[in-house]
Amino acid sequence: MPSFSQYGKKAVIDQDECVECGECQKCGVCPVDAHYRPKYEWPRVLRWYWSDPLAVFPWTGIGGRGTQEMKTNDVTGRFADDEVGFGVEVGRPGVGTRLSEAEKISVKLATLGVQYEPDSPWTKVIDPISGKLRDPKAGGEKVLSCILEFKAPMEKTVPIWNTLMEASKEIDSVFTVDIISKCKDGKILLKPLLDEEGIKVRINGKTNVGLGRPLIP
Amino acid sequence: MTHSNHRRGSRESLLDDYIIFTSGAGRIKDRAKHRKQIEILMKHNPVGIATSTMDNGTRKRLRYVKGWDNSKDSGIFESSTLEEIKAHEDLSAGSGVYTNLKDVKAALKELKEADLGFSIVCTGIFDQVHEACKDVGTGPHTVNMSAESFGRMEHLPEPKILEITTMCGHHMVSPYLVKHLISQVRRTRMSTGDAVIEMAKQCTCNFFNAVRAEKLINEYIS
Repeated sequence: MPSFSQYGKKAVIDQDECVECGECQKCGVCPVDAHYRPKYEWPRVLRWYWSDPLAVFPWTGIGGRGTQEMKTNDVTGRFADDEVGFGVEVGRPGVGTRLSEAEKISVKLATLGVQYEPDSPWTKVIDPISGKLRDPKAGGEKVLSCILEFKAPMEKTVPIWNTLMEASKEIDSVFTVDIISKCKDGKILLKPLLDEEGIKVRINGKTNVGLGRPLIP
Repeated sequence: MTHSNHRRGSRESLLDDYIIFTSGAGRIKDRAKHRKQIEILMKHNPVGIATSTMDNGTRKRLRYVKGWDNSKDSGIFESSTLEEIKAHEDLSAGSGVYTNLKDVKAALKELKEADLGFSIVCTGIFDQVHEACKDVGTGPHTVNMSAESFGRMEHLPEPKILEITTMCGHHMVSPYLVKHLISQVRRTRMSTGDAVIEMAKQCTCNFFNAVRAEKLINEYIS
């Protein structure tokens, strides 16, 4: 939904829809330089953290919306051979979401006992046992996207997938799913299970090519 | 963040789209290794490069996008040429965007030989990237697969627009901006090249592939 309305020659920002990505200010589009970044207060500051890639989450010390996930798995060993990693990117691509919509998914996943990534920004604002937002006031905040990052034993892949499909019927936004798997001898370990269960993945994605040192095989 | 994942398009179109980048580079303190990493990425015909340098005590982002020169800078978005980037003494490990597998293989081969210790991620069609890994004699170690989008799909823009906007994983390239710029191109008020630079500028991580975007827009218009 657009967060600008046009009144004659004037454009007005809809503060309820604005996700505080700051892009309008960064690109210098306003001829009279009217854009400025206000001093954010809680919980509105969450919009900025989750929408502006240049913002740094105070709880994690890194920018972006998630963690290094599989990108450093050759060094951290975060995902083992018999584990699956998930990222549920609520609001992506480009639709945005209220945090209360992400919470609906988070609560459903928590019932499966998934292991939320402790360093992920989302995990910092929820109770990882119930999946609920620690501060209910945060639920009304709209962000460009937020990521629910977690891992589980590989055999939980199908129950997690089914839970996500159930959640997709209930949320007032969209989400995009990341599935992380280790490889062995050039093969993706999880792929046979995904094929067997009819879980479709795109032909393209990210590959950690195993050049990190010290290498965790 | 999975900012290079979920790039949409046909196999044919995605054959023109690869990114090589590092993550967790901060753990490596040897600045010479950082410089070497980005020098390798700059050597193999990138169409986009992102790195940073120290500037008055703070880190300044340096961005190269093929076709973007400083006459098109605006706001905080500033372009650099590859020569300007190389002229900085201090450079951080960063990312490169490529349009063919040959360049990707050459860059990965050199990164392997340099044995810098950085975790390296290559985004692209899995069978192509894994073929490159095999040729180079490395991974694949771990993958992150994109399993589509779900929910209120009626909120998404049309697929052709998504092929362009998903090249910025943080979604800083708005579908409204893309549609507006395409309409400017249609009315001959702007060239396709200028339109894609306007889009690429918004993607601060610099993963937007302007060369592929130009091709997509030309196909879309025709």
